[in-house]
Amino acid sequence: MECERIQGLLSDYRDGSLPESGHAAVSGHLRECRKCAEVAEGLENTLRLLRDLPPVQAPPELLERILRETGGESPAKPLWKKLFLPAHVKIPIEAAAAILLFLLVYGVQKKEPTPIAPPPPAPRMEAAAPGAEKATRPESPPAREKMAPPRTAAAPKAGPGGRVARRDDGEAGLRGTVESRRYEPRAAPVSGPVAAASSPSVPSQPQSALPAVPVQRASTSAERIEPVSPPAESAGMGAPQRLLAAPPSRLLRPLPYGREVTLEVGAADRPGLEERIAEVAQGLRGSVVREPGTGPADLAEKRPYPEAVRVQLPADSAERFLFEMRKLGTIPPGGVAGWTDLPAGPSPGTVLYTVRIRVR
Amino acid sequence: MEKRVDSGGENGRPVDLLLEAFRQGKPGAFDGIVRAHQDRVYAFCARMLSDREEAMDVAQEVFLSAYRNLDGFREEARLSTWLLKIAANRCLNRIRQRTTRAAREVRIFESETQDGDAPPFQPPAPEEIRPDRVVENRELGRILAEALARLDPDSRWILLLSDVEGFTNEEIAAMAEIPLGTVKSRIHRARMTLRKILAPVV
Repeated sequence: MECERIQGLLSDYRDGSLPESGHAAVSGHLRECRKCAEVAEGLENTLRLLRDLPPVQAPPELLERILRETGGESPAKPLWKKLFLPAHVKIPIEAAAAILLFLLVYGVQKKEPTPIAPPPPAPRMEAAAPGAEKATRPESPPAREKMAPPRTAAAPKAGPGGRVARRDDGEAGLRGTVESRRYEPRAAPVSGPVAAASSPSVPSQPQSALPAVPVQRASTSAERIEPVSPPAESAGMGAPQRLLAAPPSRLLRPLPYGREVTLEVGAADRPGLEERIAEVAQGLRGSVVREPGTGPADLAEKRPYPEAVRVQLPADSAERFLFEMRKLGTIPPGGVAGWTDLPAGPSPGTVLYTVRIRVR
Repeated sequence: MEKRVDSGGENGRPVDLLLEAFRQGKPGAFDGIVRAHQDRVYAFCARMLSDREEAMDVAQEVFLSAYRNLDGFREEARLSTWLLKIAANRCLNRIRQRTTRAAREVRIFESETQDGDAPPFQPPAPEEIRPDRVVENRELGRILAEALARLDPDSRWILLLSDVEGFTNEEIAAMAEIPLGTVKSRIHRARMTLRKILAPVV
């Protein structure tokens, strides 16, 4: 009877929740009763077994299943992760796609027949006085001469009252690129697509091929930006007035094209050289346009390239044309500047040569 | 990996960072909660049910229930306590629903208290197993698991909470919503029954 009571207290005894007197009573009984002592030892061993139960790890499917149900993150990739590629895969693919897109756009633009007429120059808010329009032809000889040095080099030419000259210089500096040199409009109307394409820059000689583009210039001399009508005096000059239109964006601007040849001739051979070049070109089924701006005033500037003839040829006649040019004069070393990275002509199968004439 | 901070004492219990993150809607917070508690919950279920598949089902139910009700969890208890309470209730329900296996549930406790018969459990090679080597002995672990399975479920889960999970009697009384004295007597009876089952090896 006593053993049963003692054994009923063994848990409390072991847990230390018995009062002191009860604890002493149980301890005394366990010392005396071997059976109860064995029960107490067995109980202790049982509890040790329970404490030392081997750890159990949840199977990985459990987390997977729970997160699948809750829509949360899961070790098994959720659908959105399966749809999107990892970064190390998608970034090279995107880069390749970007390059392909660029090449596609470039190729399409290259195939489009681009007009010979140059794109309008960069947008220019004319902060000029009313008389400043005199120098609106950036391809006029003085400007062209100064385009080689940078803008700072041309600056000293602008005197105190030389607002026109200064702006000329600035414009020359802006346009001091190969591209601008090859895109000068021509004053002399010529036959063929060259002349037709150059018509927008010569409003006084409308051509049927291309519509005249109304252009306006703007002045920011006042607070408001207002359109400026070209002054009458500039129209009276020998060269046609070039009006500035808002240019298309850089992407829409036609790509530059053409090649350049410098032809050196002696002073004795100079007269009539343009006609001889024209004959060669026409003999090769090409067309020719003489460079503008070859008046006496231009010649007085002692420009290194006072004159030029622009020739458009079938591509297969290019070698023959250069051969003929060597007969007419000397092509100095480096005189054939071929822009290998640019299209040779306005359309595949044509070559545009700008023959610079230099007198020895 | 485990960011659980809920191992503090009764008072001044640290805030469970994962729980806070879950309530703030941070992604991955519930993932972390599951990772932190899944082993304990699954082990408890496995010991209660003696069936790994069922244990996984119930553990899944426990976490899904927690996922739905975590906003209402007032942190009166530790998150682990709350989860194990859910697990215990689910396990008891599952045991009660076992119609096909109910017959095999040996009511050791009742039979032992009634007639004092020796349990039908006969562990193999008892003479080679010493109590001081039980930790290393996987066979003994299996024997213990089988012995646990022979306990009355109501005593089993209280014994597991007390002597395996380490909850205090007061915590168990709060979880089971029964008087402290009842908890104590149930624990003692379960211990003595288990001792009797394991007597050949301990």
